[in-house]
Amino acid sequence: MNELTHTASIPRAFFALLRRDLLLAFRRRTELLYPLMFLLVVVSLFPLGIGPGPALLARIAPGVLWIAALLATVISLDSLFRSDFEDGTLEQYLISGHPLTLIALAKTLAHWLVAGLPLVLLSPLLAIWMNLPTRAMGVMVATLALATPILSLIGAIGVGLTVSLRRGGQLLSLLVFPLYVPVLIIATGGIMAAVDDLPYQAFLGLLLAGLITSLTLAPFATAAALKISLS
Amino acid sequence: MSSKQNIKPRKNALVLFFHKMGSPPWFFAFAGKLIPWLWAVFAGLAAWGLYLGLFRAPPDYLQGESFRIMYIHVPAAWMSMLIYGLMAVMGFIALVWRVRVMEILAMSSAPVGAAFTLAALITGSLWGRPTWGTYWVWDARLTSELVLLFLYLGVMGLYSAHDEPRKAARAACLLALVGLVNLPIIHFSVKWWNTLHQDSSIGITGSHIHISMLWPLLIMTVATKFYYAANLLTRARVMLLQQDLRKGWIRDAVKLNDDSGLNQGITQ
Amino acid sequence: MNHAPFIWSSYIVSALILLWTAIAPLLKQHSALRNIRLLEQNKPDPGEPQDDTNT
Repeated sequence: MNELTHTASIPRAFFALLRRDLLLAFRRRTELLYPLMFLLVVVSLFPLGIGPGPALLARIAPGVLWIAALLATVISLDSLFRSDFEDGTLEQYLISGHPLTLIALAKTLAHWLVAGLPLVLLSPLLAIWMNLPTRAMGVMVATLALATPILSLIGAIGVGLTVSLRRGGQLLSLLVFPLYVPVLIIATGGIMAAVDDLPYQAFLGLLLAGLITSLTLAPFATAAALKISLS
Repeated sequence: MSSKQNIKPRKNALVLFFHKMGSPPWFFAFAGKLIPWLWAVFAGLAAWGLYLGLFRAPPDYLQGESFRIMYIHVPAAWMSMLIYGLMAVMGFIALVWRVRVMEILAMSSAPVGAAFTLAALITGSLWGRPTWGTYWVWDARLTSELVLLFLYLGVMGLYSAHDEPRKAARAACLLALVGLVNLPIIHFSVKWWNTLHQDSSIGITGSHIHISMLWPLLIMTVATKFYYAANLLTRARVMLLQQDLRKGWIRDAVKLNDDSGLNQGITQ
Repeated sequence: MNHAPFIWSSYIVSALILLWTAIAPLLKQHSALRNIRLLEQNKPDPGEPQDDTNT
């Protein structure tokens, strides 16, 4: 517990918090699978609902994969701060003397490792289901790898604003959807460019820029949101 | 105050005005006096602009009569974006300086902005049917307006979800600010995503605009600003009434005679 | 295609939206004032330590 007192250095506090969250997540290993199972179900619903025609599936594959990723992320976001809020840990973080921004960043990173990264790793399977051409596979994984952290970072702001609400989770999707629109457009645009054998590097570059921007700005907004929610 | 003796009186008065407006009773009284005039100017400008736009401007070369929808669609779309910007600025002031009147003004702006956005969407859709053949196209402007509507609804939803008014307002103001930062990104990405819609700001008919077509548009643009001001102040006063129901200054404020125009309500 | 129905419906819908937006706060104002009146009547001079500060 020494690491979380204000006498500890910032990196030690950061990693202590990260380690704690990851430990807690792995203790409930089955809960880690829920977003992934949701992802599998959602993606398989599309061929079932639209028809198995390979050409059509390939055409909509980038969008379907990305929408499923968005939905799965929003579902998993709610757990980001909620249990800590409910047992008062979040308030302890607030008064611990450590910068709340850092705490927000650590928890967001834990969330991505637990919910976003598995999504990235599972995506090739889903792409095969949706008949995505193999030449676009790498770009697809790259877009997910670059942009799922953005989803976690921006989503964390929304969670920070709604964590003290009873039905916060339902409002969350309305809050973050408009903020996710650019990510969706650019990511799917990149995959579609790769499918059409057009240059896709610009899209990845934009996602990288978005990642850097949200990495530097979002934790501050999340911290501000948490301060408001806890006031 | 002695340190201010070197400042010219005029600057002092302006600063004083802003400080006064931050106080609910002052704001309440001042807004109450302003509202009828704002409505009057709006009504006059709107009547004039609508008359010119609907009955005086000649039919368009390409679009025939349907371009007349422009006189409500374009001002509504402009207001939807302007109000969001103002709401975010007010939100910023409210968050940084904790000015309660600013919180109330920001939260009162949201429904008005949402209304304009909705009007822009519906009129845009109705304009699209005779122009492009369908009621809805996913073009840059309509899609952006739709996302903007969701942003507004998010702010309003978040505000109404929290129990305590000041905390709710602060949360919603932060959300509005985050949305503002994202707005250019959203617009850029949507615009890139679809280049169907002609994106010049005034000329749906491009170079065919001439002054008799432009004039009603400018009048309606100014008219909608007065509508916003009048509606905003009305909503802000009502919010103060609701929140400060039991406070002493309210009783004094509503007992004032007809300057505030509230006596009609009391005597019913 | 006759454009008139589209023009009229645009303006009417917009007018309805803006009219509702303008009137809704007045309804709340009416009920808020009624509440203030009721408070006045129920407690003629409560003398309770009202929060008179202009926050």
